[in-house]
Amino acid sequence: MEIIKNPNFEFIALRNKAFKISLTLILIGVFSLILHGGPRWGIDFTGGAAITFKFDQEIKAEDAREALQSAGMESYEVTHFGDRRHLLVRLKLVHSKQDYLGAIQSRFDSIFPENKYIIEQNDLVGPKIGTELREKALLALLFSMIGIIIYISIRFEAESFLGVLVTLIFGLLVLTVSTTRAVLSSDLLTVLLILFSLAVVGYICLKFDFKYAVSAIVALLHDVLITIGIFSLLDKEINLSIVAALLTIVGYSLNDTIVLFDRIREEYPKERKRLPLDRIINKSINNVLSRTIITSLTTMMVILTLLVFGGEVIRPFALAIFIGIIVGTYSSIYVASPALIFWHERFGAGAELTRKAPA
Amino acid sequence: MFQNIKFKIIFILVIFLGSLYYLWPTYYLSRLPAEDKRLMSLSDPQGLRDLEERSIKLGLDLQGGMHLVLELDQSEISMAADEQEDAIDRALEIIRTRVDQFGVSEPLIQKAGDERIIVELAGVVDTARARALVEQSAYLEFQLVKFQNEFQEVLALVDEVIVENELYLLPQEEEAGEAPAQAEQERGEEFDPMDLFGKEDEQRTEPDSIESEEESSLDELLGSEGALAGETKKPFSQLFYQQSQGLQTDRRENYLLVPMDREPLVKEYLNLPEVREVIKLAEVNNQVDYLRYRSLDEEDEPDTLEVLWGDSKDNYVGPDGAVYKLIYLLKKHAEMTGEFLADANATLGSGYDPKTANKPLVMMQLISEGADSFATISERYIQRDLAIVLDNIVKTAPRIMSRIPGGRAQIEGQPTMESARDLSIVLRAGALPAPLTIAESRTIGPSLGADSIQKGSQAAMIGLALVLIVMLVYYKFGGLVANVALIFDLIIILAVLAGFNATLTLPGIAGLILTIGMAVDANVLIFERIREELRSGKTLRAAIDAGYDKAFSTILDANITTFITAVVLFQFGTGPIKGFAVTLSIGLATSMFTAIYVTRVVFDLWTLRKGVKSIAL
Repeated sequence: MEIIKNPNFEFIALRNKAFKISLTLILIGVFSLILHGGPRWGIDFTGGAAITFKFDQEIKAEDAREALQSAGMESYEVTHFGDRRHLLVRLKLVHSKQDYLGAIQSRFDSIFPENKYIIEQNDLVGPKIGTELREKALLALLFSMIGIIIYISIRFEAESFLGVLVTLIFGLLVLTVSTTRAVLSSDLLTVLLILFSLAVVGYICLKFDFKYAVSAIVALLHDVLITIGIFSLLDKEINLSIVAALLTIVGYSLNDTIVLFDRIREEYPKERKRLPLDRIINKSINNVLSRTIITSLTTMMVILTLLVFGGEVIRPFALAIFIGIIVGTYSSIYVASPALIFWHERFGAGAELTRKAPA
Repeated sequence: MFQNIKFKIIFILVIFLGSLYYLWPTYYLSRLPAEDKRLMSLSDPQGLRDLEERSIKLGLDLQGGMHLVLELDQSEISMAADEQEDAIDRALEIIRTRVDQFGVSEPLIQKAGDERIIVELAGVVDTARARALVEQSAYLEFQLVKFQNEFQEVLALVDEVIVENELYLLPQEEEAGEAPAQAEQERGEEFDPMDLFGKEDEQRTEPDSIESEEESSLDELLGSEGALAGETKKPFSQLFYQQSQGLQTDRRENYLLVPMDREPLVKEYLNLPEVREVIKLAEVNNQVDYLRYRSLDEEDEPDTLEVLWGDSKDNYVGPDGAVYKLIYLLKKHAEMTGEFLADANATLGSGYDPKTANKPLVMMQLISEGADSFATISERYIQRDLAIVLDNIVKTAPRIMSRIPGGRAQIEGQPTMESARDLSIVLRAGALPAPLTIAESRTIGPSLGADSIQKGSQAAMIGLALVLIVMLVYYKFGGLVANVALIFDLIIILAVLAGFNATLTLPGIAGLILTIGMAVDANVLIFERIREELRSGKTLRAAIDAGYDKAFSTILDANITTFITAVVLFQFGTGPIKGFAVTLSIGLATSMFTAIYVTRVVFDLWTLRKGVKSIAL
């Protein structure tokens, strides 16, 4: 069975339209982020407490809010979690020794004596840990991007000794940062380190004309930005597991991009005398199209079952990956490939697209 | 690997059988009814531990439990580096002792950096207890140890109470050590409806009458066998190691020994209210103490007793390698408490006495209010053992050799400087507070964990079924081969998780599900290539060879980059996220084997047969 016999669709010609679509999506996301005053960070990053109660009978969030008010809580948020029997209470803590749970429980016990409950989940994150987790999440995203740039550069363009050298430097960097926590005691230092790393990476990319790596990273940033934007639009919180989902999206989207780039690299020497670059890339996209469809179909199916049947706890994670797979499949075709053409035309004048022969 | 196809098949079979071997304990445990498991935890805890050790471990988010990060509170006082180190050591000792009391299986307690302690307690979900873990100040007591023969008498009394009220915790034949394991399993379900599976010490709150009723109904069920069970006259004391059983212990010691695998059962018995009562009020000793110290004891509270466990650091290892826990009978009323202690330090003995000179010992300094009373106590109890009890665990029980005036005592007989240091930490822990705050706590109820497992595996099953169908419909024979490879892949992933003692978390299950979706990618790439090669007019054999060769580097590239993100996730992620990174990485590696190597062997086998010119793909 085949979905499409010898596909020959026009993708590259639509790149300007695609550019507009992507830009619009990103702008909507950014706009929403500005409106909401940044992403809605979970307690993992802000510090605070989050408690999930499971009641025997349905309970009104409004009643629970009043109970919290009367318990003397100041900064809190009450929502249903999944169904109307589950209540998620988020608190900002005044200080860590506060017996917030005891206070809430005694209020609940006296106000809803008939409606028994159990505590399903109770998380408390101190402000210091919150700051650390924020740093860690940022570093994780940063280091995975750098790692990817390096790997793609080794495989697709750079001389191998350079690749080994850069990989070693990267490995050392990850090691020092993750072991000497003391160095990173402030947000400012983290930001400085990130800016410095980006500058170094940017310089290396320009200097060595890493067009594959840069195009792949542009696509990945595109995916991450859009996913965060959609999360902001849906008013979903960003916590540690969402960061893990973002990294997974990065991995998946990259997978797609690499399959495509591999094919471009293979086709280019065969066709470059006959066809312009954008035609070669368009042909490559068509060549791998049925694989792209089948793989994203199977992956999407499993994530969809996780989204529907996996339960409330894992749902936000599954949602992020679901969005990411759609955006990631699109971005390999409509972001990574146009970026490759753009970079080649702008910076790579006269140079060959592929220095290294395909493996 | 291997040129000859026969060897390839054998290699695959070995991996397959090996995987099944590693998965067996997980499978067995998951099929074991909860009641049988509870009985096994009392009758054969070692066997159960072995099984659990070799099974896939569930993260706290799946089995329920508590993850705590405790931090030295320096908001009010600032500490020098060595003070900080001392404070964290004391805190560690206090936490370790308290967790010991919880009876949690395999607790994790570790120092993280200079000012943090990480505690992970599976099954404990009571936040109030976590606060107690941290906020209560440590309670150090000095309690008089009763003589061993007194302890034996108490054991006999406990035996009587158990027999009289039929409080047996196990079917009696089993307890007598005669019953085959099968009998235990058959009967397990009717036996005891209460969940005793060690979660909390206090959970036996039901009235005792229920227990007795259950027992009598059991008797009725068992008929004559029940009567036979009554013949076991020593249900409790037989759990202890008796001198007659040939174990060499120091006759001068006053503790008794309980074999490690009997510990849960002894604990359960000791928790029975009737047993506690009979121990508390046992009048065994009074001739000895009362006659000798009649005048001094007059003002004392009634001389009640209690049984406490020794520290697990002090476990006794028998000549045959068996491990025994120390257990003490103590006078409940403390002779002195930690508040009279000023300081304690490990040091080397000075002077010329060969017994102490240059030997590690602990110097203990009392505050002036404590000095006088300690002089009196030490005079009264010369040649008796005085237990140093931290939070209800007996840390050590040195013998009083002489009257100790002036508030300076030394505790000798420390085998190493290290153990002297540990003991001084215990003493200081009772004297000086170690202010800790909860920097992070994550608690997940067992019901939510069970729910997550159930929903996660349901999602995995449905997802798997859908992928299998799509592959089969789209690639026909090729899809069938890919499907076999996919199921093989899942078996290997789970076996690797079990074999490497990795922990499965909820995000880990998500990683597994994601792997199902992504693992077929390799086969999709290969099959699409083969189709292309076939279209370009190659023969089947040549097309298969070219398909695998050309797809390989792409698959490798794609997997390695995903692997990079997984490594980063592992490095920076917290517990559950690490679980995700682990299953994802394992899945990436194993899917390379199943999707490329295994499917290739199947295709080679198929096309090697004579007359096969085409393949449904």
